[in-house]
Amino acid sequence: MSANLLEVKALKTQFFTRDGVVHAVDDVSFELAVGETLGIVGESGCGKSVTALSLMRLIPNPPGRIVNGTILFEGQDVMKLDDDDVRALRGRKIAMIFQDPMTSLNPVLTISRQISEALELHLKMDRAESRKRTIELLELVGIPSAKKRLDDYPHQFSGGMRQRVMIAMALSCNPKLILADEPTTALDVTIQAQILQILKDLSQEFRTAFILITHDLGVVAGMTQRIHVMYGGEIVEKADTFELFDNPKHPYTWGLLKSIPRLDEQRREKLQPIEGLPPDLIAPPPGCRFEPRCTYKRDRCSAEHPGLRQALNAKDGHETRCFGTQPGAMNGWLAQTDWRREIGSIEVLEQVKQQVAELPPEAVRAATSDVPPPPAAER
Amino acid sequence: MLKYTIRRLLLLIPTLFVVLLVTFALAHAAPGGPWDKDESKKQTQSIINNLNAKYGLDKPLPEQFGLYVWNAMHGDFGVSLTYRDRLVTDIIGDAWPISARLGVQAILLAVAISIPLGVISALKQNTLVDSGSLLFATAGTSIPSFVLAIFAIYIFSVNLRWFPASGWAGGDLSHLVMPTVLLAIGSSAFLTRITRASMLEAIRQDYVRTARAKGLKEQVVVVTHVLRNALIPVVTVLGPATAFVITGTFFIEYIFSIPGLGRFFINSILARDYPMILAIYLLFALVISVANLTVDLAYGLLDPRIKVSR
Amino acid sequence: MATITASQQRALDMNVITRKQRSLWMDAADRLRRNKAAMAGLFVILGFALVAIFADLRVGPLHIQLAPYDPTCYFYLNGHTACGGDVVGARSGPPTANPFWGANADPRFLLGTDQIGRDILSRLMFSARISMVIGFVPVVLYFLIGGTIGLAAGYYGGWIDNLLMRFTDIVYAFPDLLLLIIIMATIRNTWIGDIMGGLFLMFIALSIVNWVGMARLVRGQVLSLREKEFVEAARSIGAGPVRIMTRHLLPNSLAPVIVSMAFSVPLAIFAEASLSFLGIGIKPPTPSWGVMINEGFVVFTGTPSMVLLPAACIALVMLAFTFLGDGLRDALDPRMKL
Repeated sequence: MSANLLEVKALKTQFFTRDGVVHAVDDVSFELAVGETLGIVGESGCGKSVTALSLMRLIPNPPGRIVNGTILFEGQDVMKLDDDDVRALRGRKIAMIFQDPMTSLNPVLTISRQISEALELHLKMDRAESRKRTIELLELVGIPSAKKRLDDYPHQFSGGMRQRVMIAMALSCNPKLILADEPTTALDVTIQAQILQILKDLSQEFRTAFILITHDLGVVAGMTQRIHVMYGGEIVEKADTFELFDNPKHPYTWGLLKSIPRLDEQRREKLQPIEGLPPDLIAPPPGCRFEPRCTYKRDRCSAEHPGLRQALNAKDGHETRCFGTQPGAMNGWLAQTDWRREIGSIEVLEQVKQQVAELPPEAVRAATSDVPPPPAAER
Repeated sequence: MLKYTIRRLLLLIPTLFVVLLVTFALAHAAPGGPWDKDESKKQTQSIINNLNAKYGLDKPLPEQFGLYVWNAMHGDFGVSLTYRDRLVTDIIGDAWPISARLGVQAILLAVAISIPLGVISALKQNTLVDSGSLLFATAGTSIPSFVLAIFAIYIFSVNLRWFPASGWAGGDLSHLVMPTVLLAIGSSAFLTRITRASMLEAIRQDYVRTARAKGLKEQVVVVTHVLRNALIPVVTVLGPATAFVITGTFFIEYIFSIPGLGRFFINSILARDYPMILAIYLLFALVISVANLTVDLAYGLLDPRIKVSR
Repeated sequence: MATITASQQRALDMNVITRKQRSLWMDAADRLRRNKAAMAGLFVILGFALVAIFADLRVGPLHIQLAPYDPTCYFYLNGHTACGGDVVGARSGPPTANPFWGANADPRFLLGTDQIGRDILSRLMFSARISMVIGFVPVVLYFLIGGTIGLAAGYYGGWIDNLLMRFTDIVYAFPDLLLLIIIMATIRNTWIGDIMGGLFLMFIALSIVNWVGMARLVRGQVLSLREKEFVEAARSIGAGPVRIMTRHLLPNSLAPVIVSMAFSVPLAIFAEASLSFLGIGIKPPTPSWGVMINEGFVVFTGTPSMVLLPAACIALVMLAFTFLGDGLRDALDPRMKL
């Protein structure tokens, strides 16, 4: 038995659509220790959300199905549980925070109702207890005058406040693992930082493991211990956070680093997107999936599909899915490439890391900039 | 809420006034009077003049209208021109309970059929049940009720002899079944379509995924999260559904020879019986407006995002 | 877990969009072609349209006549035939001939004759004409009237818009059919009601009742479009209001307009059949399915085919148009419900 909280092995999730089978998640494996934090990063459509939903067996079927793989959570295989046991896991042991707080809360139920639902279900609390606990939770996530707002409806809250409610909901039963799927993408930049800080503080406080899913490397920088980069349904690079920023080993990661939005806009360079479109997951390229967009490719890349291997000139455990940075007779042509020169200035990156890490907690908790607008008639 | 209700009720007055004015104008703009349909006994001009004088039809139109409104406000809708010895209010008094019973039964039946059908259809999307209810919904909304009534009479009255083909007989069950069902089919088909569509819309909302992620049972997800949201659009169309049922009574009462308001309305129109047309129309407009108001109030209760009092 | 959530759908859609970048209209045509019910509906409509056109077509020397007889001619038991206008001695009573499956069928009249001796098959065919014409002509009228006013109201706002909205309030206070009944009943007996056997008045009445819905739809579309960047761009390069309206606003609001028009067709047919059935629609002797039901209803129990045949035609055509309309809506705007 391992000490890992979560072990995902060879996870394969597909969507069976009219146009063909979408290989949304293809052979993804990773593990997570108790209380550990992991970032999964990639462009939209790369399979990161589907990975998270697969962990909770929330893939809509049809059209989707987990076709292969094991998901060991606390030693038991989630794939083999019956529906009742999976439900006992959801919300209780594994909770999820979704991307859009505007649409992820039920508009016709009060927020106390929506939070206490899980409390009553999993912790067998009665109405009074669950209300009390709901107030505590709302205070915990920094909602001012929580008691008064208990019976408000989602539309009476601002976006940031709603995401706090979502966090409170996820924390309600003290789960072992929180999956946060782009929790800040729909929010203003200033509120993003506050929400991330709350997530970080609370997970530390309760020793909750979390997986932060985002398309923005800047967001995970100060948040997680390790980062996995996904592309085209696969993990293409795995590394500790510092190692990934310090010594990235996949051209796609370089592209992501280059495209981090920079706040100090006195730069000459514009925002640098990666050229081209993400691969068609119905008929992915036979070789390396990033090959069509890669500027460093060689013949081999289009012919052969690279595996995930230990990278050259990198820390132990830093894996990459690129022939150019892997050991081997015909490989490693990128091992000596100075990626810093490739992506521009490193100070910018340092600054991104600082942005999240240096926010004083008081400023976050006070949250005065996030006062909800007066409820308006929507007629 | 109370304030809003009162304001809406007050707003009814100008609406009804406009309805009345337009109907009055149209009814009187047409050539030919109520007396020229009796071809058999050609009435002389002097008789017609006398009749016109008796019923006030010789006065200028604005005066007629003013007089009509004034009398109507005092509950006097005049005398029917076709049933010359009967007050309009008497005829309506006899006829409305029949139509009301038929209409209320039909609406209740429509709701009782359509909501479960629409919900099941959406939950079992793309199964045989779903296709069946979709076919019912499409056929029921597109085929006119009188056409369906013709087939129903042919099958159930002429061939199987289960139900009588016409008459009311004081509203006994055998006479009630076919008119009620046929009156309900149109609106229940329409409501089934709406229920199914809004269920499908609600079921794919992100908050339903949130509810599932909490570990709730599927039944709980459907009842507390999906249904509650899905029924809001259904409630909003109950107003139009009421109007639909009212116009449906014209045909159903005509086909089944039921002495209700719908049949009187059609007969009055064919006979240019102005007092009857105006009074029945006013009643219809009132019923529809009250139905719409009720729906709006219910909407405000169901959807917390709508503040009715504003 | 049976369905896909909105955001997942968006993700899938995006995937599909990046896969094939084809025109919206091509995609719509594809989706429509795959919809079996809609295609069946289309074929039924085409069938009825062909019958309607070729019931009696004269183009120059060309003369195609699908209908065996003149629908207003009376055929007497003694072999006499009388056509046109009021015919002395046209009697009512039992039909002179039953349809081919009935007793005392007459091989000359495949579907029999009505109680005053007119050929039912010919009447059904000519009625298809009325239904097709009533289905398609007023829709064009709504589009022209409602579209123009809606465009102007949405684009200029101000008093045009106010006037439109007030008028809408009034029209919406009446249920459609009720208003139609009143208009038809009152004007039918004037000379207007006699033009084209009452068809002309039906056009007018339907247009009065229905242009408002089209105007509102177009107005709403224009209001949501006129602040969009491409309109701003057109304005900034000096395009005039007419050009902006016809080149930018109208084409971009076309999809919901087409769907609305597709549903207006069966509604107009529905209205004609209903009003004619009540005896306030098309004027006899011009045949229409509604008129035929109205006339046959008195002998329904004796000769059900006289009523069932036109009723079946109405049901078939209505279903066909609704299936096609549903298909068009799904094809043009998958997000639009109902």
